[in-house]
Amino acid sequence: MNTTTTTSHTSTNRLSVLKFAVLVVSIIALATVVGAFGFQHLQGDQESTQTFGTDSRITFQSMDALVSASQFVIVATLVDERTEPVKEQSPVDTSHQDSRMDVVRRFSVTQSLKGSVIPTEIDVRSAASARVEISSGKFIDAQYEVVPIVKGESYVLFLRSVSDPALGPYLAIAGEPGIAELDGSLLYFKTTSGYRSDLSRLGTTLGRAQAPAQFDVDLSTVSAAVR
Amino acid sequence: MHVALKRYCRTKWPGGFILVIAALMGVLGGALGQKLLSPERALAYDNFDQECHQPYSGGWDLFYPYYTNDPLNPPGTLYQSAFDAARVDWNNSATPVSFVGSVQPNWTFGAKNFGANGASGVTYYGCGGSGGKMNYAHVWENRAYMDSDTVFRRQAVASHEIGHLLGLGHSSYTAIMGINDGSFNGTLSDDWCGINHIYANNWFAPQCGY
Repeated sequence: MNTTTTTSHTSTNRLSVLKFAVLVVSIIALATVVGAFGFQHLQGDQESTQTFGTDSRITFQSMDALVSASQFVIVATLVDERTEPVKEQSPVDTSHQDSRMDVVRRFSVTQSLKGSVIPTEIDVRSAASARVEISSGKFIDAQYEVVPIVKGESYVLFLRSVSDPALGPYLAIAGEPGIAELDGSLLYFKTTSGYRSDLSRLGTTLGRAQAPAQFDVDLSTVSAAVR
Repeated sequence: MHVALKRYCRTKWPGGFILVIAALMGVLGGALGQKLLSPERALAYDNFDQECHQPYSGGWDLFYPYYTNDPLNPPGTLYQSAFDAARVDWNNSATPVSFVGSVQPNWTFGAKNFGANGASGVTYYGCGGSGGKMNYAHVWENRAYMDSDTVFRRQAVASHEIGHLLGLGHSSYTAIMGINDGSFNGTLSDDWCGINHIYANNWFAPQCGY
């Protein structure tokens, strides 16, 4: 009797385990389908509502290229930093305009390595954010990385003149890397996270032998290149 | 053994918890399955940027991308020839790309002042087309930097931005979409490989010998 009961229980248990296994497998299968479609749907939702932006960053692959593209290479101390709103009108229809926030940094120039006409104080401008009309009535808000630097500290700046339809010409960093801390005879480049991210992706191509990427360029290289 | 397992499950791993684990495994399996089932990108082309997801990084079903000038910030005399030359270069590349001028608002070229934002050109695009395809793209050269630059480099930037408009990201190889030492301003084989990979037209495909 006990044996029979036991057998009966065992059969029931087998059946339960089988049902349980089928249930688990079914749930995995169902969740797999839902999961796959869910991820796809999520991506679709994101895509239908988002505008993506691709900026083509101005970068230099060698110290020579950096110095060559820079109209001015100076050693200067950051003395002041402020933000300044800028409006940019469409040249065709002035009722359409973008707005931009620039960071304007004032530097006291202590040494000029390239470029002769540099006053004792200069303003260097960088765009920090913008509200851009990408098509009639459709705007997007863009953020741009500005390399953080410290007031009172001295930097080597690689500069170029930029033409601006609204503001006229002004000085800007020539590209990346374009700002470096000076420590003895070594330059330690300050860069944006976007640039560093690009470098890590391109790591196999831009080797450490190519100067700006290695963040420890001998200043004599700059002088030699300028000469 | 089954009884022992059941008892163990009851005491140590309550049934509900197992079901939750099974469901999570299923969801992860689904995501992994979708990833594995998606066609892989060609080794010749590394698309690094945020992108449209279907079928690859977006683009047209047809090989004839329509375009027009941005009505609010048109290329003007300084940039028109750069865009024209860049489009001719893409049309002549070993890809199926063939630009067709047309009056429509979704695919535009222009020149705009973005200020000193560190970028020579900018492309904005959306992925709201059927199946997540790219359904608009607006390309500008940044006047802040490029107004005073050379004709050669304006064409290089135009070619590069057109690559984005066609659905390409940045490449880690020597290419108009990748490493450029300034010696060329048109498309190279890696760019063509990228396009041919996206649009899957083997008869146009150059050798992607990477």
